[in-house]
Amino acid sequence: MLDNLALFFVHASLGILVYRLITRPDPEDLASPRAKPIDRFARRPRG
Amino acid sequence: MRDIFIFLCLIGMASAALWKPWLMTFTYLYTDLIQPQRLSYYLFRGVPLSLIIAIAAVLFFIADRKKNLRINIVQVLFVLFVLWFTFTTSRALIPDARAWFKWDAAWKAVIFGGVFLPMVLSTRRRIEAAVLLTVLCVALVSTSGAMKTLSGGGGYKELKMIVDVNKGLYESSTIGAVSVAIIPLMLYLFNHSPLVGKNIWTRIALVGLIASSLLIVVGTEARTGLVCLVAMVLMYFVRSRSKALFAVGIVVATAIAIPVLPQSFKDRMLTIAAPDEEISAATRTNVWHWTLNFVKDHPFGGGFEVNRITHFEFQLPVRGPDGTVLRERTVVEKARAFHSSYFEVLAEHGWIGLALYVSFLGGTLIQLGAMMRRTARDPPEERWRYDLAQALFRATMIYAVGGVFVGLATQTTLYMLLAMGLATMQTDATRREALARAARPAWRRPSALGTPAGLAVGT
Repeated sequence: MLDNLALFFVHASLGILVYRLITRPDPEDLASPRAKPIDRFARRPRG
Repeated sequence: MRDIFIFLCLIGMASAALWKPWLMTFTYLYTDLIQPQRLSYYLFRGVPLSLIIAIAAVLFFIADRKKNLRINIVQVLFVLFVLWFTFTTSRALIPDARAWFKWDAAWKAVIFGGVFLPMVLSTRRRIEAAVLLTVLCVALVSTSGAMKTLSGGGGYKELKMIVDVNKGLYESSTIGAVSVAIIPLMLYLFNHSPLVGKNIWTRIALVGLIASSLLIVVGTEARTGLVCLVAMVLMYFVRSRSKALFAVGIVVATAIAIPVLPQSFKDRMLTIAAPDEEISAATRTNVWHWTLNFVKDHPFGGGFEVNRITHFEFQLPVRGPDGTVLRERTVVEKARAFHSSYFEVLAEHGWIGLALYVSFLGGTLIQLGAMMRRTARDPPEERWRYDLAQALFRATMIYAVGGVFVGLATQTTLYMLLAMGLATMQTDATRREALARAARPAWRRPSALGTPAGLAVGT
């Protein structure tokens, strides 16, 4: 029970992390002269 | 049910690489740290998951547009270390499959962690994501162990981690050392990382994870954990602005903790001061003594798994209830582990292996220290570089101290920590180059198209 609880919370956090990594553009991509125009207009990261 | 859950998580993570190719390396780190095949009941049993994802990670790396192809001297030392231990394994004193089995795990940890990973972690975002992944993977084991400790399931060789395996992060001394080593990384992520952010939930998570890291040290009753904890407190004390206040805080915290700690934990920790009185500590010091004698005859070491030929005996005092020595009994030990990364490398790969091991460990720490000096006066918006270098320095240092008492020399977590340190230094070097280029007169600057992606300043 406790193991499954830890397993769920850690994987939920990992899921949120991966989602953020996909949906939020890397600021260094935005600054790159090679960035695609679509990236430049993408939502800026929060925080 | 657990198998399906892990399978879906793994598929989800690997699919993310279709959008961001470097996330396949991220998936590999997850697989290598957590080892889902150990968590699985039936689905992944016997599947070479790490190998499959490692191959995929290398293929996706080719498609990655932001490779960091700088080579640090430490990465050269990693390659030399692998070549050297391949040589020592080829002439191992125990030339059977088990030596090559350990070699197989070791070269993957060193090459993939130490050499390949810094090439993938080319931006701040990627480094922080890898740090966060490490924290979460360690947290999986530490929170599970911490909750069982709180419910009374702790104790030396009693605490059952999430998996009943004595390897990798699931080994009690290893998780004791690693869970303390990641505390500086957790604090960095909370204070600086846009991936984590500062809010009530992350604050609760930070407190919970630090508490888990401390509880796992109590739960496993691993002396290494306490030694790492002392090393960490000393490092924070040395850099603290108000040393008197810090010292008072530590004294108060210790005074509050001691009555609450289990007696078995206190008894076990007291054996640190008298290693010849307790069998586990005495075995450790005797196997180290055996190693020093062994390398006199075998300066190139005995190859992996040489601990299986250890054979020694020693006297252990038997005390009465009042503490007086009643008699001495002879203890005979065979095939004991080295319980120290440094003695493990010395016995297995001789003086050259130890020199290489200490060189890449020391080389990374020295370079991180140099980066801290360079970035100490950066403006507040650039402060994260200093703090990240400092957090990685502390984590590596704690790991190196823990390595004195537990065999961590071929653990993936060590090479991941070193890789993150190297990647941080390399992104800083890229930035400094860009700044130097920008400071040149206009007619000497290269065209914008030739500018590397990593020159961006700030977040």
